[in-house]
Amino acid sequence: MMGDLRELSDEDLALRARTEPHGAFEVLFERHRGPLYNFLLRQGADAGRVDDLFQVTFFKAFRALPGFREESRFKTWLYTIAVHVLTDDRRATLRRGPTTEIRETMLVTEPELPRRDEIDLVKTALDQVPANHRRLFTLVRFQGLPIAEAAKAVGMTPAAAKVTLFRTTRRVGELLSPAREKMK
Amino acid sequence: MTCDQAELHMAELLAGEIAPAERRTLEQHLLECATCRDDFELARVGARVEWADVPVPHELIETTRASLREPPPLVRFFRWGTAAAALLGVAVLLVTSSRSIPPTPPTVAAAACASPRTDVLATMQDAVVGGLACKDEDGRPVGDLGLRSHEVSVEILDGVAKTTVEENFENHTDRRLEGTFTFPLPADASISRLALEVNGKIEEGTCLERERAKQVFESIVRRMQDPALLEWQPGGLFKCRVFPIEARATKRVIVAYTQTLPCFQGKMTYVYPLASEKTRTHPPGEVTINVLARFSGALAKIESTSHHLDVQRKDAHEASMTFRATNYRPNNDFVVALEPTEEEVRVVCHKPEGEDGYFACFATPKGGEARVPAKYTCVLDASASISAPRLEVAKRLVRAMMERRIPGDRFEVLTHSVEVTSSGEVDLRAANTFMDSIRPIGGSDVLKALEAAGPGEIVYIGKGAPTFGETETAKILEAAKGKRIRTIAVGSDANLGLLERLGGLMRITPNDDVDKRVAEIAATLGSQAVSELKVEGPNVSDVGGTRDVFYGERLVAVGRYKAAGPSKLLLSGRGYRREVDVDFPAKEEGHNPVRRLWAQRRLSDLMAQGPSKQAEITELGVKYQIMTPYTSFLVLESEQMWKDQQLKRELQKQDQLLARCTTADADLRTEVTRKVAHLLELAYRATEQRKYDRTTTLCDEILLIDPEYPVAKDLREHVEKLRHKEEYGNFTARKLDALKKLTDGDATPKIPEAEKLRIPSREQWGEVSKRLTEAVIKTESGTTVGENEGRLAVDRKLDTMKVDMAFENTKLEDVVAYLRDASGLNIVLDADVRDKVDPDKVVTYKASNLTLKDNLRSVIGPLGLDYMVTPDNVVLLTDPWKKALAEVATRDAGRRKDPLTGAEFISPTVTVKPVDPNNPAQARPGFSSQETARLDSWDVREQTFTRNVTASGAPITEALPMTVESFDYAQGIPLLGDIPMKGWLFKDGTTVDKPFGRFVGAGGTAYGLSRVEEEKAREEYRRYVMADFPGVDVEFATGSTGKMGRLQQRAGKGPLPASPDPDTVTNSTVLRFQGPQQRSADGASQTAGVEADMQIYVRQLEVQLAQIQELTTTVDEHRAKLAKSLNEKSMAVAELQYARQRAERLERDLSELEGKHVEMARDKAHLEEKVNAIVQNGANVNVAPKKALEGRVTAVALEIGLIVISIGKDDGVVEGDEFTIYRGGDIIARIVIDRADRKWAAGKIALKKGDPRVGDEVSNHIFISGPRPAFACETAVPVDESKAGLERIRTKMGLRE
Repeated sequence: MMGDLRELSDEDLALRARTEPHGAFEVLFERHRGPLYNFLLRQGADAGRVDDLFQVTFFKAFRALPGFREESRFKTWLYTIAVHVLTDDRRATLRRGPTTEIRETMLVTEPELPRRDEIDLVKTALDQVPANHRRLFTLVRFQGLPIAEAAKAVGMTPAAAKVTLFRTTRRVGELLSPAREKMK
Repeated sequence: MTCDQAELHMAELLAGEIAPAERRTLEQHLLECATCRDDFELARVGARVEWADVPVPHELIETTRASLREPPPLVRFFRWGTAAAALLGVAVLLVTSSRSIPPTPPTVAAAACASPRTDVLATMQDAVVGGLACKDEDGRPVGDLGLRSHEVSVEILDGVAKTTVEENFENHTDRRLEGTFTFPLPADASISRLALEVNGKIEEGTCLERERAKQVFESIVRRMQDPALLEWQPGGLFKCRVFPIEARATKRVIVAYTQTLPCFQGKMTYVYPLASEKTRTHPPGEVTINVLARFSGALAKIESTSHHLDVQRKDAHEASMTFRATNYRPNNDFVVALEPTEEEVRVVCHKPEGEDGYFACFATPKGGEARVPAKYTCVLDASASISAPRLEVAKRLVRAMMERRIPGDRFEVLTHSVEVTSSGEVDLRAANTFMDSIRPIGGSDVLKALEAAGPGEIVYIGKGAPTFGETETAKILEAAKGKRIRTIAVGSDANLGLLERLGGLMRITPNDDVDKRVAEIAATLGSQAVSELKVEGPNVSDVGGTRDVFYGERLVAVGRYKAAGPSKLLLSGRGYRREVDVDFPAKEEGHNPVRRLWAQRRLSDLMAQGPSKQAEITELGVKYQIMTPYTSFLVLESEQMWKDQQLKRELQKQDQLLARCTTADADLRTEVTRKVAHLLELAYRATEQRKYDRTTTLCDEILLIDPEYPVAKDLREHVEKLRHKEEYGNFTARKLDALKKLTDGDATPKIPEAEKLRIPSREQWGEVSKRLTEAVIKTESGTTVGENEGRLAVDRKLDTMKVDMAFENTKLEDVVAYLRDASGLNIVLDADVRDKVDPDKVVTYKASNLTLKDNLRSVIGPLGLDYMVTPDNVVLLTDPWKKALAEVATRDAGRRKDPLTGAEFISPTVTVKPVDPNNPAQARPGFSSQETARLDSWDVREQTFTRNVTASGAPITEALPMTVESFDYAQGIPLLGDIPMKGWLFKDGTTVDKPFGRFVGAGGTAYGLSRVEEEKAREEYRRYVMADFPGVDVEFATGSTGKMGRLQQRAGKGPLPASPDPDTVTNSTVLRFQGPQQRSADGASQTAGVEADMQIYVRQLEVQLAQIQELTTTVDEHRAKLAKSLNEKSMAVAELQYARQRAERLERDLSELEGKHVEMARDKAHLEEKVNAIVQNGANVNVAPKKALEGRVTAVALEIGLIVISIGKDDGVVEGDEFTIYRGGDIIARIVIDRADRKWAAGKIALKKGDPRVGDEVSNHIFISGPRPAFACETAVPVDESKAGLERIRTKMGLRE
């Protein structure tokens, strides 16, 4: 039975989840957990926090699944939830005030520190980009969402998303170029 | 392409989403624009970043899975009748969408993908009043808008109900909003009208072919205009975008739908879903429901079972009722029960001109065979999609059926999810036990359940939505063939397509009264269904709506007829046959709903046949204005837009019937008149209720029927005026409200640390402050405010009145008399000072523009006099000593009152006891044996007291020899305070100038004394009193009782030892102090208690005051800090601005430099070109520039034109170099070196102006006039020549001597 479900598209699965919530959602979970986990990881929180966000995102998606109306692709819908979860989390963090987490991030952004490898370099570059731009950038660059859908997920108009995306990409390039040369 | 556009396309290019045409344009732009090119290069670096995926930790997967085990809230809020809900005891679960669930924007594209999905389960919606969920222009959601009014008008014609819902939403925000109107459609209803308020006018929507509608919609949306599109969505929820909703404005949306009312045993029920969580939490401002019911047959009974309403009957066929409420929070739906008395078969026709006729056949089959014992298998859907309330309903249904069994009936209960479970043959009790164990879980395998059922009748109860095993409808139907099945659909989202075809479908929807419906359905058990029912007849076509019906159920079949005239209609089914004579009319404008009904039935038949009938469905939908999966309602802003879009609006004929029937038919005319009257009445009523929008609509409707109807015209105009007036009024009222709110907010000021402070009530404060003020005033001026206005007047005159005076050797008495006359004050020279100052003494005094006071002082001051104002308002010119005495006396009088209680302090009394009563020397006026006299002033040191005993009131100070026999301070009276301490000399040389000291609290605060003074006073008291009486010690007790100093006798209560000064004790008068408590028995102790309480209270107030002061200080500090921060912030902002300006400037400079760079580059390129040209001509340009060389001519051979110079290869001279020979700044010749040795070089003259000589300078520089001025030349150059050269240089440089 699970085999049948695996052949269905995300959207059909989401509809099927109304009658067979666990089976269908299990398949959706299997399909999306990896990319979603990495998406959250790329937003700059530490691993422990990412675990929490990951669980919350899937839990919310599972709860909200009966309300899924096929107005967007399932993937976009899921990432929209993830973006909301991230926003909520960020707000909560701001309310709590600066934590060690933030201080660590600040330490990492010290330019003098030597870079371990390319990922560190990218991380450092992305840390200097506003959170929402970072989300858009990662959605398009790493999660493979079309710009229009990524825009929907982060709540921008497609045109604004394009401009933002391009500027973010350029900024990342700008931040990376000198660092790379230094490494060489 | 501009750089901004390029940015967009570069993003697309990097994401691989760019269109080829745009790519070409972009590439062209990149070739031309260096900035964009650079940006793009950077972005390419950014786009190539790699961040490899990492696997999800295994534990995380497991924990997440575990957190998802809990079943999701699949079915939302299944509403049953309130009574039913109470009976069922089912917890109602309402799921509001979580904040993190993405808002689902009403995109057209998303809506477009919906296709008819009879196989897919529609989401069950909580059937509620339509809502308008909004967001502002920044996309921030603002929630559902409130409903100002909600009007429903229901027309039930022959059991077909048309419900028109008009909702007036109110934008309560100050922003322009965009909304999504959602409207849940009751099961088996179809939308027939959508109208929207656009620019204050109601614009009707028109049903168009879906794709076309979408196209138009999108093209208009692109132009930022405001159309609306209502599209079919699976699941019975309709959505439409509404924009703009202006700030603080209202928006009206009108939706109409038609449904055929279910009828069983002659009873019909109409339900309008009014109760919902939303209407309960946000009740609409006004709710109006008008119901009009009309039947061709008689209407035996009509009533609202949910609300108590009066029924207005017009005749036997027609009745109406109205429900009206304000801020109504509905607890139940609006339900109307109708009982028409109808013939078994009734045919109603409608025949418009130029079209085939329509007929509707209402049939209620009667009869049927008697019930016989049978085997029943109840199949219960127990899949996960069945919510608890639904399952409960199913169980109740089974129970109700079993309760109605007849002897011989056998029952079995089957449940099916993925697996099938059977109860075996059961009685009611066993069935109950079995059913109680049902737990809905998993998918639904309908076929398996049907196959598992044995012979006999199968009663299927559930959704009929197969999700497991065989899911294809056709195959299930095929497999179920030959079985006797009846189906009961539970919930509005049941798969009717399958259940209907399985046979004998009956429904229970959330809108039903569950108990009643269960009973109705149970009653059909054993009764036969008329299966394979057909409606036939000659001349009849396109019949729709036929299905299996039970005896007692009402069938609504519809069809068309071609030729008019008498005909026959045959209803036939298994075991049922009726033939009806009908006379199809040639023209019939009445019974207009039949037309729509036909289309509706026909459409649902077609839709059941699947997508292959799309063309037909679309055509019918457009023609009859019914929304289907392939047709949508489109609302445009104006009639002009329809023309612009070249769209033909299909007239909503059925809705405009009355508008068109103007002639001929007398019945119709009557009907029109009646309708107009009815509308007019409604309009007037609406006006009364100030529903001006409604009135306007109604008037418009009337004017549609009769465009010249003057009453309606006038009313409309009148209403417009009223509306304007009201809006203005509302505006003012809102403003007032806002102002009120502003001040209301301040009604409860927040006091910092209020919980810690004890704030007295207003009355208490008033009292305390009054008393404190009085006390202070008394302390300072010695008089009470308002006590002596005359005194104030005198003071004022003295202070302000100006008198000019000029006296020379005038008697003082005359001067005083003059002042008395001039001022009108009673100025008197004190008789007591006459011995000191002679009134006949002459004075010389001259002053002008001085106040009376100053004049007085100037005149009498030199005489050693002062003035005072006596209590009788006499300005007495008297001795300063006397004045001081009087002042002290007045002040003391003020002190004698407790500022808080107002009670007079009672001085201790003394008991004078002459040692020898017979000794006349000891007899003092006012003192007798054991006499208790009032002690006014007692000096402990001098052991004297002053008493006011003389007739004149003048104090007599006597030093009385005395000894204190005993102190009795057992009750801790505040005696100490009453000891006058004025003039006390402390050991440190300071004096107390306060007339009284009085201890008033355990903490030792004394009125009129500072703490230091108080401490001193205590000390003094000990020193003087106790030293004198060594047997007595004083102890100041602390505690909260407010009792003060307590004196204890150290050596028992026996008599104190004699005074230490034996001389003063000779006359041994005994003084005895007696506390006020002793003096005035019980009242006094009470006073003391109150006083003590007041003192505590005062202490508390003082503490609070201190706290408040501290807080004030803190607040001030914070304020200061804030101001500082603000200042810093503004400085920072200024700096930032400055930095920005600098950045801008730098940027500008940079761009300028870039421009220059470009120019230079261009020049360079130009030069390079030239160089290239030169190179091509054979020139060697790869010669390194020469360094500047200078030397001298060392040898000259003019005959061969050879010159030898003093520099050679070592200096950098090479063959071919050119050197110029100068003398005194003049060019003599130019040579080309043809031989270069290490130390010298020789060259031929190439240009000759003069004869070179030895000693001339050579240089490879190119100067206009030599390398150096001539005066710097070596001596080898003749002086005259040098001078001349100098002159020339000077001339050239513009210098003159």
